Amino acid sequence: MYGRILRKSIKVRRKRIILAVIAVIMGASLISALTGVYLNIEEKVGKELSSYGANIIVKPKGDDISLEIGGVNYSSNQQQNFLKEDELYKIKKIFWKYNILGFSPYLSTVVKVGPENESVVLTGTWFDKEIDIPDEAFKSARVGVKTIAPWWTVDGEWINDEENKPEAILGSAVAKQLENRAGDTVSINYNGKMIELKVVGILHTGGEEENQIFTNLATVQGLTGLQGKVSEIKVSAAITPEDDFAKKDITQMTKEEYIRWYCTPYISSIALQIEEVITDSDALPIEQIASAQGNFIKKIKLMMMLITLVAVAASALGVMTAMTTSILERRKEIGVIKAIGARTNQIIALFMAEVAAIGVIGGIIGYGLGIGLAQVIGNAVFNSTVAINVIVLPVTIIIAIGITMIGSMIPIRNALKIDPVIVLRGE
Amino acid sequence: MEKNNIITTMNLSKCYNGKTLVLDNLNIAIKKGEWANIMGPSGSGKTTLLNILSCLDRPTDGSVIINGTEVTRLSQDEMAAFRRENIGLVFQQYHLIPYLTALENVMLAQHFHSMVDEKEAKDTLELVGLGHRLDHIPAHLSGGEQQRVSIARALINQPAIILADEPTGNLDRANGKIILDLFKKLHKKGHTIVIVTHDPEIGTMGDRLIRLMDGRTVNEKVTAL
Ligand SMILES: Nc1ncnc2c1ncn2[C@@H]1O[C@H](COP(=O)(O)OP(=O)(O)OP(=O)(O)O)[C@@H](O)[C@H]1O
Ligand SMILES: [Mg+2]
Repeated sequence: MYGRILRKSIKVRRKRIILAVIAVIMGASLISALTGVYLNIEEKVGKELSSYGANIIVKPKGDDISLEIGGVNYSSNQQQNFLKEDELYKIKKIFWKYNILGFSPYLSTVVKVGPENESVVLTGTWFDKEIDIPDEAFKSARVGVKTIAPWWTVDGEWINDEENKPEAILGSAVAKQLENRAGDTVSINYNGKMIELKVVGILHTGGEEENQIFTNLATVQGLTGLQGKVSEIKVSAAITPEDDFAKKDITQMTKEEYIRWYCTPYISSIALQIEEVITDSDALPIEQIASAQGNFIKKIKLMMMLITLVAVAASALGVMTAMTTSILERRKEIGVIKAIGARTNQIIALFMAEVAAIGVIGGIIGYGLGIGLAQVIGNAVFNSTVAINVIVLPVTIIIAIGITMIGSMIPIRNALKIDPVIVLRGE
Repeated sequence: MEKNNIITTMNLSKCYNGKTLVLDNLNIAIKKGEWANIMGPSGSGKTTLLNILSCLDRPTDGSVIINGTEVTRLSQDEMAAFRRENIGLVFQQYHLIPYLTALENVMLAQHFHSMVDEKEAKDTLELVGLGHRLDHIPAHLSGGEQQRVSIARALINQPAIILADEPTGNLDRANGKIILDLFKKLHKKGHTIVIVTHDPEIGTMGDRLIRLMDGRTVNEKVTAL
């Protein structure tokens, strides 16, 4: 009987019900889309932000970073240490190899250039290079400054890593000072040793790199006689924000805790794994980026929660409007039901079943639309698809039922207040 | 107070908004199995009285004892429960649920009372002569037929008392007669019946006639014994 009443009462008022369902769908689709994105946001934003720069810097062990200016070590300790170029590929073989989005080696030295013998930092690096990674399914990896500093722009040409030609890219400030343009050549004087480099491009970075000259790693190695050596490596890794657990002292951890820490892509655990594969190295998180990344994710999450809250409220308001109208139209019917002896909880049950039906239908359809919306958001914002977690479906349905209940509370209370004496008085 | 009175009102008054006195100190007693008609000019308080006897409304003053229960002391839910068990209501406008069939309208009362019993609901519709209209919705029934469905709905839970407010008010003579014949049948079966009516012909039918005038009873007549 109950089911019959429900079916028929829904059928006869389907316009109102559809309105209520649409209100729920709108809220639910936004909620499921945002929840879907929310559960992906760490990875997505991590990748996105990491692509805005290296977040780990690898130095030779014992290097005094405090005396380093513009990538050149000025410490009195002339016995400078170096990292080995032939170990670089190992960075793509650590436990979190898939989180290594890119890296680039650097070898910097001070040279004199131009008619006035200005001191300028000459940096050798890789620009955009495909290196072989032995014994890995992915076989090779793209590395070089373009993978860790994608915002760098060059007027002219990039240097081709494979050709190893005597070419240079001038930082825009250097180019201005030397009045140099792409196509010119620049004479480099390294302790009396002279080389000519052809300027192929002018570099804009918005940072200190604009005061440097860039060339092939091999060129600087040849010039300084430091074949096979690099002075630092910058690594861009997708990381998970540091939580309280990440801040724990690893020497105090139990074995289980250590494994858990090691197997979580914290910046510190990835740094440790890099130290393990690069001989005599110190891998240091660039804290600023790491914490900025964590904060940024927190802020985005907060914003998404606020949007979700607004969506829930708007949707509940929509349900309330639909239910209020629906109950107004049913005043007489409710009066009759009361007059023939319906209990309060029977009346509530009648409405609640309807509420649940609206919530579940709205939730399921909203979930479907939400998946689509999540992909649209993913494509528009992160340029990639959003993996949908199965948990989103029950979460969406529960929230949808919640929305319907909240939206129906006041109308149902009004329905319970209907006085049969008044509504049954004939007209 | 007599023992075999099923409905007794004592000093019953109803006042709207603290000034309009609609029922003024009514003392009415209706015996078990009695058929009482209430007549009176429009606005004399007939519907108001019937609503109070139906436990749909409360008096401002006085007490109402039905079937041994002082109903004015009951809570809202207790009043509903009391109504379910003891009273069947018939309205001038039938008040059927428009989207349910005749059978379902009757079963709805069963549902709110206890359990649905389709066979019993069918039998009751049979009793009011609507065995052939079970699956019709109210819009597809004549006024007389709708009123018979509403009588079946009032009867389904075997209430001791049936209260009807102008049950034939919207019907022509022929249909009115069918309804009255039904009431006669129920009266014979022992139901206590109270009917509010404007129809002088009905007024002559019951056991007694209560005349209301400005909320008071006037020269009450016993039409039969
Ligand atoms: N809710 C209310 N508030 C104020 N006055 C009311 C209310 N309900 C009824 N009344 C008044 O009470 C008086 C009695 O009304 P009631 O409906 O009982 O009359 P009645 O005898 O049934 O009349 P009719 O024969 O027209 O049906 C009327 O004057 C009416 O205006
Ligand atoms: Mg009336």
